[in-house]
Amino acid sequence: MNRLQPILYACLLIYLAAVLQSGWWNHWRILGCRPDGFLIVSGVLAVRSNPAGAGMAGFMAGVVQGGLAGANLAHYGISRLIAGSCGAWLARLLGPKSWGVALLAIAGTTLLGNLSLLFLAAPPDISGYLIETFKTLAINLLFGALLHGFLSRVWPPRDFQD
Amino acid sequence: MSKLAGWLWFPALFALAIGLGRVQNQARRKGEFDPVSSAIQSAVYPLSEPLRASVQRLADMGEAVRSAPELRLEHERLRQLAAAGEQYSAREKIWLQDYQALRKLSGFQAPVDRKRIPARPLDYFPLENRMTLSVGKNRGVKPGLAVVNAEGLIGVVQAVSEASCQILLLSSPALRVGAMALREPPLAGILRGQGLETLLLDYLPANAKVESGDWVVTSGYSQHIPRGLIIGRVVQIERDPYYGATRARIYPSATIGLAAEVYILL
Repeated sequence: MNRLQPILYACLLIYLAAVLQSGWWNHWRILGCRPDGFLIVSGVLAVRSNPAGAGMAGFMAGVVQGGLAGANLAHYGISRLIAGSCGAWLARLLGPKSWGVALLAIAGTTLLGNLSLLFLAAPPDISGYLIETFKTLAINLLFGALLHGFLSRVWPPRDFQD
Repeated sequence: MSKLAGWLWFPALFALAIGLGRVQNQARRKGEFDPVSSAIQSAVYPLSEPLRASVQRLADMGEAVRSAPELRLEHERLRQLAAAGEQYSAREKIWLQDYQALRKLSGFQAPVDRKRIPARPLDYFPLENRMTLSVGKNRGVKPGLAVVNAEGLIGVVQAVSEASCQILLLSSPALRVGAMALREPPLAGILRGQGLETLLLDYLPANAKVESGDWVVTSGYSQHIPRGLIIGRVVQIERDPYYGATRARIYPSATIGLAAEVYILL
């Protein structure tokens, strides 16, 4: 894989997340939960990249998410930058990449992304937001596992142990 | 040294994010989209909109199959209602003529009949209390206009591009709308969102005789939002004798965020 390919994959995944989020997941819940495609992609990329690369991918995903929502781009950019880089750092800390590490990184990215957004732009109903975050975490793990499994065929993490 | 250079991306991206936020706020103050958001929406909507329409069709089909008997009954009930409504509308025309004649006699201008622009939601962001609609400057939409559906007011236009606009939903704490409880005389205050299921009518007088179940509508003390658009019903009253104010919690009439078709009132 050359240097450009991961960037291309990341851009493609973020675009796919934007289309799915805007065309489907924002309008209909799945099993009572609303997935966050941008955090799923940030989590999956965090397993495959170093903290700087995952942070940049997270930042890009955040700006796209904020731009679509008309939300403050700074809040989304910064929260997803933190989530992506911390997710990658967590994946490194946990050792060789396995399914467990990947799922933990996706969960960590989702939690950190939403919690840092909570501090940057607190919603009026914090308890409702936290409940929604845990629901999103559950469905993100499901979709994240699917995406990680699919992506591992074409772009496995460097030290992935199946 | 190279490690340090690797970490320099973070403050740079932080600064970039803050810069983007500022550009966005400046554009929003002018009632426009910032260039970054516009570019992102232009790139995503051509694919996401057909996807949304397809998923909607599938969901509708499933719903129709699941609740076919109820839909038949509902259809029959609506036919009867429509027949009754036709009789009523003839009388309504006479009342309206009387009302306008009385206004003219009293020296008031005749009420302006607002043009309604139908629109489809392109995108909905519950966390941000925002919705993107399918009409923009090309249909005369501008910031501040009211957005309604059959159930009542759902939001106010905030930013407009050529072919789309973004509305701030009634559930948003950032939105302030002049509203009044329908009492004799009406009790006017300022309404703001507290989430999808609660709105707050604030700045009512301390001795305001508002009660649970009262209807709340727009007060019309605004350039763009007309008087009398239904907002919801009072469900709880909080009196604060210390500040000499009363506030009422409102349950919104419209299912905010689930509207499939809306109208913008020009």
